Amino acid sequence: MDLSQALATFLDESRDLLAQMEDILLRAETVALPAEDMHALFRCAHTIKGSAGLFGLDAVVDFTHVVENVLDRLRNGEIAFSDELINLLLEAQDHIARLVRAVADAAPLPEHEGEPLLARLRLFGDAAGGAGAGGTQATLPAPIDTPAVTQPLEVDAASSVSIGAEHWHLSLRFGRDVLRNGMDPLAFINYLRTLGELVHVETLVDALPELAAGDPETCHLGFEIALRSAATKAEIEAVFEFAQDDATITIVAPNARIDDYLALIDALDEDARRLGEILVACGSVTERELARALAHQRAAAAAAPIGELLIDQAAVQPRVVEAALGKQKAADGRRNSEAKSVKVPADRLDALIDQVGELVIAGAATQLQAQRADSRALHEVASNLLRLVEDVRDSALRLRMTPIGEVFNRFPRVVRDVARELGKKIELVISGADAELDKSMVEKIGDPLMHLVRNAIDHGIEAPARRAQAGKPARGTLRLNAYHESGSIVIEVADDGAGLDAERILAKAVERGLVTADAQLGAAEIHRLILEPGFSTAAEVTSLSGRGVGMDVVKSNVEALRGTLDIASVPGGGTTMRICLPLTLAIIDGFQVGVAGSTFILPLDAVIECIELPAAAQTAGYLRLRDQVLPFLRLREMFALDTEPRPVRQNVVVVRFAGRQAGIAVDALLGECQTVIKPLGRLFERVAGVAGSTILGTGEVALILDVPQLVQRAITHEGRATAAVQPLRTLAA
Amino acid sequence: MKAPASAMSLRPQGELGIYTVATLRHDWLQALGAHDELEIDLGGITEIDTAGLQLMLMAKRCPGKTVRFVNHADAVLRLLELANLGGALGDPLLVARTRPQPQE
Amino acid sequence: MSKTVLIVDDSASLRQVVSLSLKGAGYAVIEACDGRDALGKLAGQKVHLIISDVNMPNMDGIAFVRELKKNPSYKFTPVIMLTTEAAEEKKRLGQEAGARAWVVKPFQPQQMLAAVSKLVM
Repeated sequence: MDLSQALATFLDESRDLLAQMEDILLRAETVALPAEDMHALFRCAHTIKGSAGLFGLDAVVDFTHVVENVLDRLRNGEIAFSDELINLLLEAQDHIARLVRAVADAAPLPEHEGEPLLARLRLFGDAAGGAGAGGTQATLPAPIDTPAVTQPLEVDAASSVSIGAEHWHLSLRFGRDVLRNGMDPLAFINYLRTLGELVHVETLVDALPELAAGDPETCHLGFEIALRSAATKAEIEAVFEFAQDDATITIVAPNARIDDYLALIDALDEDARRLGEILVACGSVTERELARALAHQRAAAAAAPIGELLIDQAAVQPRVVEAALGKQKAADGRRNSEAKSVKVPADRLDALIDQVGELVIAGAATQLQAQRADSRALHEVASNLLRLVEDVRDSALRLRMTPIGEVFNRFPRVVRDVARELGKKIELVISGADAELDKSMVEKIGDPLMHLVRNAIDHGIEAPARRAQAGKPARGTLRLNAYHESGSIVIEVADDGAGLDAERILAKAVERGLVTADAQLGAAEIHRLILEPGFSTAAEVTSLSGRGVGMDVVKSNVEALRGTLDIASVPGGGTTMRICLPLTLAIIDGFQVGVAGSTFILPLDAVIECIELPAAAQTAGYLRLRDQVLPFLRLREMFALDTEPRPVRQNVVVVRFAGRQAGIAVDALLGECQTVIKPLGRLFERVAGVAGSTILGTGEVALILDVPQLVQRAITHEGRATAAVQPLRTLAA
Repeated sequence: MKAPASAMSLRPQGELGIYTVATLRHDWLQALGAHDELEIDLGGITEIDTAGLQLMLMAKRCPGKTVRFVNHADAVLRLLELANLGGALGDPLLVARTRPQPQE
Repeated sequence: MSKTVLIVDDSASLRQVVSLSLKGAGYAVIEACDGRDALGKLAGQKVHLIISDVNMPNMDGIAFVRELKKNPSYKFTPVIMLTTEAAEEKKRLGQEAGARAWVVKPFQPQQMLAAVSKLVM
């Protein structure tokens, strides 16, 4: 049986459950939890334990068992939440997460790390929990406690003689309701075959009523069985565990003493002689032995009835427990939705996206050919096809879309822990968790976000005393927000702290040699200095930010995702870090432009409008658009394509990014197209302004322009143009 | 149209088990009310359990009437064999066993 | 003819493992993630055995078995309940609802297979 896929499911499931557990525990810090949360909490541990057992993950089972025990007592109201307990449970949850991660990595499980936790957890568990914690053995319902065989008080030589049979003898009388209870006695007997050989089965029909008189749903049959088996008595008994409640199961060992058979005969309702015959038929006793035994019994009957000698009645009486019915109804919509979703291995999804990408290209090629063929019918069919392909593309991409909440969810715990460590009071407000982006982006944005959040708590939000001085509420607020904007997703980490200290940043930057002391920089430019490599706020490094990761790493991580990182900071009012990312890395709607015979593609989402390049603006870095100054750049210059003569008329595509606009001057506007983004080859990796490449329907390669970079470039170009007119003039001359 | 002291044949389909024994018993009793002999063709039985086997045994306990089982399906034969009741019912089994399963 | 087993548990991995081992032994398996889902998936079709967890969201195992046993199509169908060690109370409720067989979590796949084959030939 290949369990690898099931194990993957287990890992996913455990991560979900652990996240849920953490979420509930964090809520427990502020509000009294409703019963369904308490049950859900218990269920998290319960489910992890149960599933871990299936994979033989004893370390997970053992640890989770103790946690489950505490959670069980919590939900039963036997113990209550305290700060200490919540902390302990959070640590326990972390440990389970560590164990699960080790399983995922196929690393040795860090079992020993859990020991101090176990000791503390056991203080909250009851005695049973402590004892049960050792229950690493996954077992079937505990082997029934077999009452010790009652030994006859008077043992005489004749009755203790052991007799011949080399097999077990089983005498089965089931309860009247056994069939109605869904048990099938012959299924048990059939199962005995897995333990050994059925030497003889005798079905007792003596009690069977006539067809007209009896109820066929009531069990009237009995069975006497000879079984040759190396199994133990407990193993044989376990076969009947589900029917034991009102069944009489007697098991006589091989080579048993004749007493045992006498006791058997004595205990059953059937006529002794008839039973004796059956025992003989089973080969369990010989006729001679039977005759001797019966004679002996008759003799003994006068003195002392043999009575209840043996009868291993494997019945466990259902213990009556007088607890009230706890209605358990967890309104947990998320888990409910599980039935309606399918988990798919990521590589299959990637393969699909890849194929859809090829399909899009092929579709575009088909349409191009149709246009050339000048057949209306063909053109119509091709357009139809392309539309369908676009729909498929959209659906396929949607498969990969994941709510950003998946990343946000880990922050309540981080904020809580970090704030505690620093003695700060911080409320985390999460909004826009539903906003979706590509799964691969979700995975990659976690670390940069984590850094920003830690930073905001560490450096952004002030200590309560300082906040009080500034007339702010002692509790700081950290906001995580996400929203979609023109084909991108914007993720904000905003604090209401002191804001960036421009003076200090500048001083530091000068000290580090990042800028010269006499540099004239605006506030925004100073803020951006913290994103520079080599800028470190070492003077304030705490245990938290002293992780060797600077803001420059965050910035380059974000840029690696074709995103941008912006800073908005108000002194005394707080800082907002804004990450802007494309929704997907795979396919975009593009807008084709031509420059000197080459084709470039702009993401359509970024395009606002197209205008003709005014003749007056031939050289300047900006032009006037409806009374606004629009910085612009020329692709011809940018990519050194100015070798070919310029066309008489040039166009400007107005693009926007992060609230800013810029113009891009091109030779020709070629229209919209589907664009599958292919990773850039090594050749183009370092080319500024290029985000990727694609293959056109014609088979040509086209570069996809990096709008954020172009906008940035156009703006700084404009800055240079206005601040340093001289060089430009020289250039113009 | 009722034949006087006649035989009748029934061919139950599907399950001969706990869910159907009550109904089957009713059917069989009804048939036996009108006829002295009842032949039950078990070729259409796909599943049988202890309750079904018990009903077969009970059917043999019908004073003054004769109930015969024929054409036992494999599932029935297997259970009879397990319970070691092949002979107890007195119906020829080997004949049935060698006969090909009738097509549904 | 293969016998059909319904497994009801909110853990997808547990269902997957049980399902794998039962299918390997020739059973047909239907999976459901909680009681409500199970009732929906049953919809009158024949199953020979039901394995149900007790602790589940939406409709727990006890409520599920109670509901199940009201349906004449399932009143005789055996139910194996998955329990924790010390769940006497749940066990009593389950028994009242109509469950007669118990397997303690955690269990090994072959243990479940053994329990199933005791109940379904």
